[in-house]
Amino acid sequence: MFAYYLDLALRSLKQNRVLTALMVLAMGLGIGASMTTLTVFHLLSGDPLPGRSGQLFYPQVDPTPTAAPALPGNMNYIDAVNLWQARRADRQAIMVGGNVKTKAAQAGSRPMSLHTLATTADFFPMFGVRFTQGNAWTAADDLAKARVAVISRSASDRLFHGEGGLGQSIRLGQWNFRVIGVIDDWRPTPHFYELDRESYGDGDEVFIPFLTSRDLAELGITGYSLNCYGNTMDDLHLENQPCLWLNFWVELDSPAKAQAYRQFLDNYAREQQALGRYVQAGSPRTALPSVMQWLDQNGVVPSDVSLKSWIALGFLLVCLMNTTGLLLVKFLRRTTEISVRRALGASRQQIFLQCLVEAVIVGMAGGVLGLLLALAGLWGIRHTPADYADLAHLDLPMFAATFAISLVVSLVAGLLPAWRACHIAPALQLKVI
Amino acid sequence: MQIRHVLAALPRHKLVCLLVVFEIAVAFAILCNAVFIINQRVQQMRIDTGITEDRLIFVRTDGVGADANAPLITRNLLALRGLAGVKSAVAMFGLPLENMSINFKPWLTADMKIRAPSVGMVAGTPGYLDTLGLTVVQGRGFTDADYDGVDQTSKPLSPVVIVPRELAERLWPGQNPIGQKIWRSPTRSYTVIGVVQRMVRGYLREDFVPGYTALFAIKPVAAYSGLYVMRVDPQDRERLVRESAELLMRLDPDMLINAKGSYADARADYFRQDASLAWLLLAVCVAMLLVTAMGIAGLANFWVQQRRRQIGIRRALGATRRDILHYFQTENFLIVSGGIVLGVLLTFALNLLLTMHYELPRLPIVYLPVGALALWLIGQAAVLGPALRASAVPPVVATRSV
Repeated sequence: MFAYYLDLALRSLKQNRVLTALMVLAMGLGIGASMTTLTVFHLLSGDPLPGRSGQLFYPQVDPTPTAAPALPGNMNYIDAVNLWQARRADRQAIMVGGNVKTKAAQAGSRPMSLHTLATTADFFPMFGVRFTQGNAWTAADDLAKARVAVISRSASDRLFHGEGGLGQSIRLGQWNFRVIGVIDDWRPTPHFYELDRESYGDGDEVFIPFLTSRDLAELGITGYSLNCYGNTMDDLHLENQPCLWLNFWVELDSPAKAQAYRQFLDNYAREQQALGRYVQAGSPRTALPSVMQWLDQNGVVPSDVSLKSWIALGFLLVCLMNTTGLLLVKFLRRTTEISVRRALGASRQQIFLQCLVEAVIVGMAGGVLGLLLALAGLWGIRHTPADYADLAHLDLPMFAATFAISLVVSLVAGLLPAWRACHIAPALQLKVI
Repeated sequence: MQIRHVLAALPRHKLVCLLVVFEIAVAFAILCNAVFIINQRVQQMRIDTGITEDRLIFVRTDGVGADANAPLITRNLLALRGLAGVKSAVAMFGLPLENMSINFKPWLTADMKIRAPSVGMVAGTPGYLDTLGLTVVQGRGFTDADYDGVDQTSKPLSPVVIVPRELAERLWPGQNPIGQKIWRSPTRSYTVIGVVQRMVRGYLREDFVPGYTALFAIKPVAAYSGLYVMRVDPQDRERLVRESAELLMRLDPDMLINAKGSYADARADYFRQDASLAWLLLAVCVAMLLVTAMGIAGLANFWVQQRRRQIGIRRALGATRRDILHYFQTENFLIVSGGIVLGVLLTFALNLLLTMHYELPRLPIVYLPVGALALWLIGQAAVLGPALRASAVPPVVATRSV
């Protein structure tokens, strides 16, 4: 029976090619625009560390003299080191980035500017970073201010031309570091652990111990956004300056531990108030957002991206109504044919299905056109200078979503026309013939 | 007379009419708001930076490193000035819209009680006001004696500052700004010696006023040695960008060149997100109007075919071709008008949503008549073909097949 409907639908669509082409074009444009913008939105609003992000939290405290509506987005040195040394979470790491002039230590190599992250040993196991060679440094290396580095595979390719580099030396600024590990290229999207850098850019390429980077302050690793809330005396040696510049992440493996850590943060803030370090009176201002909450609070997905999606969906709605109107006139035009079929014994249900099949064929053809348009649109986005440009690919879920949306849209568009068509009375129309 | 006929006939296909009315209403709401957003972005992108943009090129390097290397900056500047076509070259910080900025909130009194809004810092080596094309409109410019080094926190030691007129009027309304003071720390104050017409900061944010900047005089120092700006003739820009970068690399093979180009490139780069949104919205608007027009034409075409016999009868009864043409045009006008009436409500509802979620201002009323006119014209253009075909139906059709 279905094959018969399909045949009928195709005949009917062929009969009026211009109208069919109009409907397919409208659906294709609407679906293409929606899928292009939704794919970008889907890519940018994703979970940077699926399966792991639920256990990661970003402690916030407020050492500033005046209470701003939002808690500070970074920590000063003293708070970050205090919380790190307290070791009250399953894992914890301080991190701060900067662009550092780097080259292989042997003579004659060209320097390059690499995204360098100063962090502490827990960083690698906490975020599940995979090593292809060597290992991370240890907590003892942190305290010893060891001059060791972990580099990404792409950095090792650029610095050592594909020869790994494990055990070799690299020169950051004017200091040599021994490479003790190479990680697989790792680019959490968005770059959640340090949002002051472009949120969808490349991953970090060189990792060195945080205390080492303070020892060598002239490296200038002070983050991408230095926010000072008092008089500063020095903007390289930030240990005692009233400046917010560090990121501090913790891993808490159960809700009970997260609750306990919240309590710990409150107690810590009260203690600092008692010591006179925190001058704001009243109950302590602290927070412990999870990864997804933190991304949400910071509005990481550019508002333009969601605006584009909404506008494209509005356009799809216009296309949908357009197609509904055209299908309606198309079915009503076949009044005679339908009434003959009804008189010959076709039930309303059968007419309804027949019409829906026709609508779905239009929708699917529109979906295929829309898919092509979306691929073209994403190709266009990849050739823009946006920091997320190279991420703009149609992944499998969005590929499936294109057809799901086409199906739903064509069913919605066909529903009203099919319902009207199946209510055409058989006898009345027969008289006219 | 005509309108009554049309109105009487409309309810005969009310479902289709309602659909078209809704389609036009939604299209109208999206069109008005999209054009408004495009206009907003274009306004932002047309910001006047205050500098002579078409005569400037830049090379951004990693700087000279340690303080002891500061003489290298002087050497580099001398070499750059030696290139044929370079009128002047300076090292500076705070080029407008360079996508980074140092901001501070100066105090206006020595007791640190009154604090000004956030101000963007600009600093440059001797002659940088002329290089940028900034003219002093009140007071005096920097003299050679004004240029000095920076302290541990990279604040200029020179105790003088030049401000744009916009900031002077905000900080000292109705007073002479010359001789006024601002403090950046309890021990570091700056006296206003001059006023320039306008100078925009390196990075714009909603809570920043673009034109609030403070211009300082610095000698070549390592802290601000990354950015070289040169004044050149517009036709020399491309050549000199290349030549100046090559020259700097020759002088110091270990130097990193992070960016280079004409100022126009940097400016376009700063607004690329806004440009991308504006282009996308424009494309959607065009596609939407196209789809709507095609939809109207398709429906009208169907109606004409459906009513061939009626048209023939009307023609046989004495209606002129013009009457038939007007009939379809009036019908289209009424349907589009219905869509616009509903669309006005939808437009305000959509604008309300956008103001709540995207910090967009209220839509000015003027967009409504302009949008309505656009849709009326498109409706008429779409219906013209089918209506002409209808008017060409000969009266003899009435006699056939009855």
